[in-house]
Amino acid sequence: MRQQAAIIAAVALLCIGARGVLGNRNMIRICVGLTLMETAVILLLVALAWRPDAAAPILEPGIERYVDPLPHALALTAIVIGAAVTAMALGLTVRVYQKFGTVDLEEVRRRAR
Amino acid sequence: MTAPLPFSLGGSLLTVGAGDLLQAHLPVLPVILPLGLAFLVSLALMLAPRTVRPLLALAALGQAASGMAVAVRVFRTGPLLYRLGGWAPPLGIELAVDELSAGFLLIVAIAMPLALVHLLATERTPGRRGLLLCLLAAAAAGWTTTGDLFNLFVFVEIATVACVGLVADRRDGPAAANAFLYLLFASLSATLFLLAIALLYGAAGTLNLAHLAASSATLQPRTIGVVLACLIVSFGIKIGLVPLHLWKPDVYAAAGPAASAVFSGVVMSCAVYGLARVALAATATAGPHRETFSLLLIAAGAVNVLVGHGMAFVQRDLTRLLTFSSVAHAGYILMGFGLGTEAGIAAGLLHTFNHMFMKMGAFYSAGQLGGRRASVSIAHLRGAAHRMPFAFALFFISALALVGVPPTHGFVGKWWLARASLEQGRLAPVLVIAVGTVLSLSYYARFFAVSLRPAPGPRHPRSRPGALAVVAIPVAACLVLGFAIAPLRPHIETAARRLADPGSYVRIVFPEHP
Repeated sequence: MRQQAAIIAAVALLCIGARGVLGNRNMIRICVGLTLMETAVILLLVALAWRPDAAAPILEPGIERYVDPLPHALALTAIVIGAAVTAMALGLTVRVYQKFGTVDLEEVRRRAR
Repeated sequence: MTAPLPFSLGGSLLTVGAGDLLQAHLPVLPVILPLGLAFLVSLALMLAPRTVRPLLALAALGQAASGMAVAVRVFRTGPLLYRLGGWAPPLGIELAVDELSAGFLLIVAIAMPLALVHLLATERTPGRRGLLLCLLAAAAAGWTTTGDLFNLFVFVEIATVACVGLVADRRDGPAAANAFLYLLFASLSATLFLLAIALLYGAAGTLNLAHLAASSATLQPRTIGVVLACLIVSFGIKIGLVPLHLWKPDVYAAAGPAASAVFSGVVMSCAVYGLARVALAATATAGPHRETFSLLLIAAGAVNVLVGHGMAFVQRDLTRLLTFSSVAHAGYILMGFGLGTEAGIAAGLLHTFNHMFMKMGAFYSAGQLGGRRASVSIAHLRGAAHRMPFAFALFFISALALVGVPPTHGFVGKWWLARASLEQGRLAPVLVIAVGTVLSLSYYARFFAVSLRPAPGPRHPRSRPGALAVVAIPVAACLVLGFAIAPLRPHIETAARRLADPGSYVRIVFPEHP
């Protein structure tokens, strides 16, 4: 039940993020959309790892059931990659703003032509 | 490579010779050599700028030598397995280099060093671009050799970051905006790929590609459908599958011909490999899905050929024209893979290999014709054949290969493809090839007519002989391979068999698999 709720939330987030990326010309909003999409997939990974009544995958005495640690490792890596990519996207946004004085992607591309 | 691997480098250096050590770690060298040198180059840029050139030359030499050594060894003695850190498959990540991977690794190990040498021959300050090319070289080598899904994702992302850097590095005009556009589409592609990975892991409980292929029978048909859709869109963005190609012309034009050569020759080839490898692992045992996937590839390939050549026909800029030509050639490759037979896949593989040479030759010589500008307007090239006869000749031969005129190797690729589709009784791909050839012949002829017209055009700085010599390498390959494809044929067919029969890939990692 909890797992299903998390998966539904992940799908919803994915759709919101995709709408943000595809339906915006503002570069900062596009960055936000991209981050949302990333987060959605990470949430999905964490939801897939979930087991009923299981603890975090840290070996401790007295605990028998652990959630699947592998998707957690993937989620960590995906977060790191996502952070790097977002930093790059924002860096490019800053450079575009410095050069053109706007963050409207269509406007910039029209003017650059 | 199933022998246990030494854990400590120091200890094993004492017990086994350095040669044995190199042999034992050979499969990982094409990845770690350029990766390590990329870090050294970034240090050298700050501390000792003079050492940048030798380091880049070393990276080119190192990757060419190690990549070719791996490929030759695989084609001679069979697939190689390399367990990173000595960890076994279910927990650890392994590089699984079969003949298919080796073929694509060969493309990377020829194209990336060529790109580095071209950079050294044309740029006075090659530091930052060289660093990015080293990073891309490492990522592309890992992309084609890894046997682990998530590892593949990581390499794809490293390649993306390097490519975005290459687009943004041109300081003139719209580079940053177009780099952002590239990053946007690459991120969409990455998210969908990660989604496919999450779904596959959730359904099959493994990230190892061979393990996945072995357990694909347990996957729900609906899951496979969703995963395939994600994979097609994800890699389709990178390949330039119509209508996902729309970002390409602007980005390539902003990045300039030299970077476009790498995008088109290397990144596109790797994306084809990624799609073929993962999609076939996921559908290894699902018959109906494989058939749908095959038909879809043929149809998408045909659309790509027609739209790509049609759009190339109306371009007024040489870089854009060549970009649309890449979209079209991706179509030939996909049609070959879509046929699904050994002969069809072999034709697709051969054309991928050929396309790398001809597109690098074409983009680099277009760069020479345009005199270092990002955009090369065809109207400005009036009389170019008289002003720059050598650069023009190199472009001429590459264009003939792209059209598929014998004796270039472009003809051999198209011939294989046409024969493979006729063997299956499919006439449509042959018609599409014919239409595409006529279209491409006409748009290159228009360009030749313009550049042969005598006109006192603007004086360009003369191309340096060194740069022209580098451009001549892929162009010469177009001609030589046209005659010398026969000895390569058995190897290409072995590689094709790996895709046609997914069980053979599984058996590399799990020898007891039926």
